[in-house]
Amino acid sequence: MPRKTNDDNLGRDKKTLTSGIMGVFYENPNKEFNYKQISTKLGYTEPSSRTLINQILCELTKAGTLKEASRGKFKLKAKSGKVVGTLEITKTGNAFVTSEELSEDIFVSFKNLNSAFDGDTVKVSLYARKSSNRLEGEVVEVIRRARTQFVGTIRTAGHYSFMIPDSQKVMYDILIPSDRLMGAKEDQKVLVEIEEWPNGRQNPVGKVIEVLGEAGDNNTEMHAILAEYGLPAKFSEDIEREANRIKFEITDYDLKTREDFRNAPTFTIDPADAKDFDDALSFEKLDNGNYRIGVHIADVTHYMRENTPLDDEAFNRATSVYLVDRTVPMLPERLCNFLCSLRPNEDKFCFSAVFEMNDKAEVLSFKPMKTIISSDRRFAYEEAQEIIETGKGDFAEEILKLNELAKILRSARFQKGAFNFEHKEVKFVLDDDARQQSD
Amino acid sequence: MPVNNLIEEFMLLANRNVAELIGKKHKPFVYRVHAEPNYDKLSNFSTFISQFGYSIDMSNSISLSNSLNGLVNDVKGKPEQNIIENLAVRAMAKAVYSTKNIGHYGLAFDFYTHFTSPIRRYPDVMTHRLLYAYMRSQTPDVEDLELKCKHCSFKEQQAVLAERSSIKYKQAEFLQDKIGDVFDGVISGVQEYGFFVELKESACEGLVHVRTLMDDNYEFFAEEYCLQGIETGKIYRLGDEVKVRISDVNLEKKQIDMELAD
Repeated sequence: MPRKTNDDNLGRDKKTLTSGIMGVFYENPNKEFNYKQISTKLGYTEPSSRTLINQILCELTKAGTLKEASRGKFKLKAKSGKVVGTLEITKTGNAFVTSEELSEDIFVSFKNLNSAFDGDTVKVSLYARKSSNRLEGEVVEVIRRARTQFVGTIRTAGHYSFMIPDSQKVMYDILIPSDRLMGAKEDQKVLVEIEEWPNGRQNPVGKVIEVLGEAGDNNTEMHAILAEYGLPAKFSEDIEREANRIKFEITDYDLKTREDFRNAPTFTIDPADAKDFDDALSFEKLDNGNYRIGVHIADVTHYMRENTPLDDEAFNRATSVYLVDRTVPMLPERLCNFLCSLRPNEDKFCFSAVFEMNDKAEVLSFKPMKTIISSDRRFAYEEAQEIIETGKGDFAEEILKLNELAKILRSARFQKGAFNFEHKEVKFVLDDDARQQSD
Repeated sequence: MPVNNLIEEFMLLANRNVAELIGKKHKPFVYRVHAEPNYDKLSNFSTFISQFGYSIDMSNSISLSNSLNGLVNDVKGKPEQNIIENLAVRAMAKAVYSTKNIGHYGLAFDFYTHFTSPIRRYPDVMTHRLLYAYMRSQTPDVEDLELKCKHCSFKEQQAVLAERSSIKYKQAEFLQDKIGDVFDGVISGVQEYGFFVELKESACEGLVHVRTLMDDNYEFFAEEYCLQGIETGKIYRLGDEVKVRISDVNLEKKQIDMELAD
């Protein structure tokens, strides 16, 4: 009876053949093979099959997956079957490692995580590829921790206290020795730093950094969410003090170097409950029939100088955070609600984008400039909307023209292929003033 | 056109012109960039929406965005609106900050930056400093600028996740005293361990675990976004309307468990 070979299936699926070849290398990460040995291992005997296998070997070498260790002999390029990559834990508790060394993600079962956490950079040892064809391995070393602080609830059992992590992606409860509880009690939410992971132990050991409050209390839970994502809840006293020391003054130098827009019709349009007005529009008709339109932006960097603790803090925050029931601002109140808030009838410094535009909304000139402005009027969205719809009200002429120009700009954008995704994340409304960022 | 679009247009205009002014001079700058969509994901998406009778045209980027804009209009108010919008957004890349300008795909701009909100975004602060230095012919400090961009992109993501998490908390709180109640929902996600259902009125999302599906053993088909009963052939697919009963709420974990209520 002739020996059954795999040649019949050949060529139907180069992909399958390629993963078969890779399987041989992963099973023997330190060995070298030539195309004949590979062909034999995979059960291909026909010369045509062998030619294709040789061709695939060359392609894999070119792609950097294999290397030609000696003439005609190939070897896995990743050192000794170990690859370095980023761990991503799924909701089931199992994980995948993405590595630049491999085109395919490596599956790591929960029991083989070996104390690695979601987001960690890990070294994975690859297993022999099974028939399922899924590349699998186990974590042998955590190279870099993505984070060391976690949020969860304290549970005490006898002499032991554990922190049960909030995140489903943290697979281990954290043991807290009684001298590292910092007074945290049963059912309290805490921020914990992992300090050690003794060999062979089931759980990492950590200490409480901050007691956030009673679990299930709204305020505690919101703080817990911020801590979970590495976001601060409030400014330190030092930063507040530094911000409060910033003076509001208009010097002769400022007046000399800044373009004066105080006489131009200027207004802000924001949601009714907005506190920080960081942009204003000015609109003037020029003698040549065109328009001068100013987009005035609060001049934050006039007040917040580089390499100050305040600037460092703002950089660390990088953004204001809008939780469902509160805002954590990037800047202290002194700046966002006062110095840099373009409130009506107050002289304010701006960094402005100034355009000359015609009736077709074509930009004839554009110039950025530092300015001083004074907003004449603050409009809530609803008020401005009414002016657009009725054609009547303060600055009706200016607002109507701006609206006309905006419409032209908008349709031009869509014609050029812009998306119109005003995607609402979730429609859950309480007293939700969360802002949406579509750009 | 709502008035917030008026403001949006002028902000986009300012951001775009600032980016273009510096970008064309090839000086180091902070861009807000948005890569092209992942076409594998888009073709999966295209296959999925075809069962609702929708289609998109992927032949070029303008027809793609036109057909996507049309799709967004067509699904408005339909039960499948959220699922389709969510999947569309997931097929798109995320906009990030970078010193390497690749343009903004979603806005169809070759140059784009963030200039208009320095009170609430640090990249705008960087943009202001760079632009002002260039206006005065100074050489700004651009050391680690790309790293700073990466940091800002990361923080932006964390802020979005925190916002979502706070919404999930409020949803769990809302349903806490409604255990046993029955609601109309739409399947909003399918995994091997079960499927997620978004309630129609409150948009709260919970999990129907496979172990609660007693009538059969179910098989998971990732590419078809569905679970199928091995014996009965019964299918639970993304976008299907279902009635569910709230079976458990864990406020601390922000988890809502549901069961089918048919």
